[in-house]
Amino acid sequence: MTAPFPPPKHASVASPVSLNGHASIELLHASVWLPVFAQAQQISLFAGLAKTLSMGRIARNGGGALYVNPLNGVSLSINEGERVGLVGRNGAGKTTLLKLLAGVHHASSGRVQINGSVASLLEIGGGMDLERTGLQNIEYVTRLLGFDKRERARIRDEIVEFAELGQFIALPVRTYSAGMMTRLSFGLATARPKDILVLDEVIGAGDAFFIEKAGDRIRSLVQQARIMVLATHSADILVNFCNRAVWVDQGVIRADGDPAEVWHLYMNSEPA
Amino acid sequence: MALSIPFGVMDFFRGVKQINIAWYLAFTDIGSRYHRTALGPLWVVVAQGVWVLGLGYVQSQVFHVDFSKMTIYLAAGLPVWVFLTANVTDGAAALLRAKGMVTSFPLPLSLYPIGKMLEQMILLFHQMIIFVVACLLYRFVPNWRIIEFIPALLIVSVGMLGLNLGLGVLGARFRDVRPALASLMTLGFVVTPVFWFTESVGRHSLIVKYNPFYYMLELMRAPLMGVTPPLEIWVTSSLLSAVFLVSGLWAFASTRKTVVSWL
Repeated sequence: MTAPFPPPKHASVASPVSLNGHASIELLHASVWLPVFAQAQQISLFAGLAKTLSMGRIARNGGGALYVNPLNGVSLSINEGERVGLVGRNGAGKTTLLKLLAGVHHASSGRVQINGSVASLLEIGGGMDLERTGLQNIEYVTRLLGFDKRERARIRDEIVEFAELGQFIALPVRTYSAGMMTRLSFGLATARPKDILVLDEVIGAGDAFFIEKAGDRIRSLVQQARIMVLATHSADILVNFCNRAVWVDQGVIRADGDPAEVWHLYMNSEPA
Repeated sequence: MALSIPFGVMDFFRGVKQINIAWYLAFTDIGSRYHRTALGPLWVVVAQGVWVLGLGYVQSQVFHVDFSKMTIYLAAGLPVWVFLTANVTDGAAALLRAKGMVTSFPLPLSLYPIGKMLEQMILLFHQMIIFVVACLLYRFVPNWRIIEFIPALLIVSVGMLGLNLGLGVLGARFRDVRPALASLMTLGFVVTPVFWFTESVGRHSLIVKYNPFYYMLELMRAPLMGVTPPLEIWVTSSLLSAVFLVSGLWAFASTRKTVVSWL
């Protein structure tokens, strides 16, 4: 199945609306085409090569602009209480799928319907100012998310406790280790329970204690009848965090079901 | 693309609704610009003061004008000119600078161009400290017409918001836009009556008549100098602002869904 090319006009995309307690995600033949901009010579040099290597996932339109096709007709339906783990090789389309759910990217064709508010953590330390301290960044992010003064104070105390950064909370975040950044980012992303939580491969950088703690937090969030979608390369995280796994391969879904079974299929697949 | 326009316009109105967050963005951006400097945002004032005094002295020599008159003219005109220029050149980076935040915060995209315009407005008020200092030094007392500065600023700001929206998109798609605009605005500084008087060339000179920034500069500077801008200036500036806003909003709205992949 190939998506139409050149990319069609944007199909209908619902913007996220908050519905108390009734969260769901519905994707119907969703495809994403993203333009790639580079120096003109560079494009012509690698386009031919890339086209054969990618088996049609990189293409040009009439004007010579280069496009990649990270998602190619994905249909997926996720309901309340599901903790979905996305697995797949590098470049399979996991992050693009998460960005579609987070409302960063929009489908070039197909339908995307998201019911519920979305909290996402796609990039560790994303949007933070490295020169500012942990506390200042907490203040910054919670201000941007529109919390009032009392909520901000409550969230700050909660994150300081959850992230266990100790004295580091008063130091610029550029001094933080990858794990400390993960703790802070994760604490912020889950500061206020949202209906849908979207996480890219981010938990992995934390230590074993943190992963356990994060697991408790996710489980408690999902218990409130919500949805989580995360991308991971770790069987441990998949089995411990998720009750459903989706294997994404070259922009399409290869398998969908029980985490252990899907992981087994994925690991025993022929390398592309 | 057709379906993107209502979505993009909605995004714009959601951004306007959350203007308090845009103000917060503007203030923190100014703060981080001067992170770990001793004078902080006061550097803007210092830089401006050096310009006004230096240029004021040179111009008073060249044109044989009174030094104090020239200094006050510059102290009123330079901040306004910097406001216009900064909106054009930084406007082309309004969305590019927000790259890391776009994937991290579920905020309307229009909030970043709105915040950039507010940031320039804050800097404008900052730089006008020089005007106040110049007035005190040379005992220049602005008259009541100075209150016309407020509607003038509002009219121009609407246009600058449009520029931030439109150029933000254009600058994200075509990376040559920003350097091109920067060099254009350098020329603009010379062509626009910032450090020389309009009377030297006359109002009907081509470089004044067809220079959109002349109208906006004059609209904001004249009240500071105690003169009501002529009706022609009010009307032309308002029309320009409307054109900037409509075309900027159109560019932003029609590319709202794709612009993120250009960043």
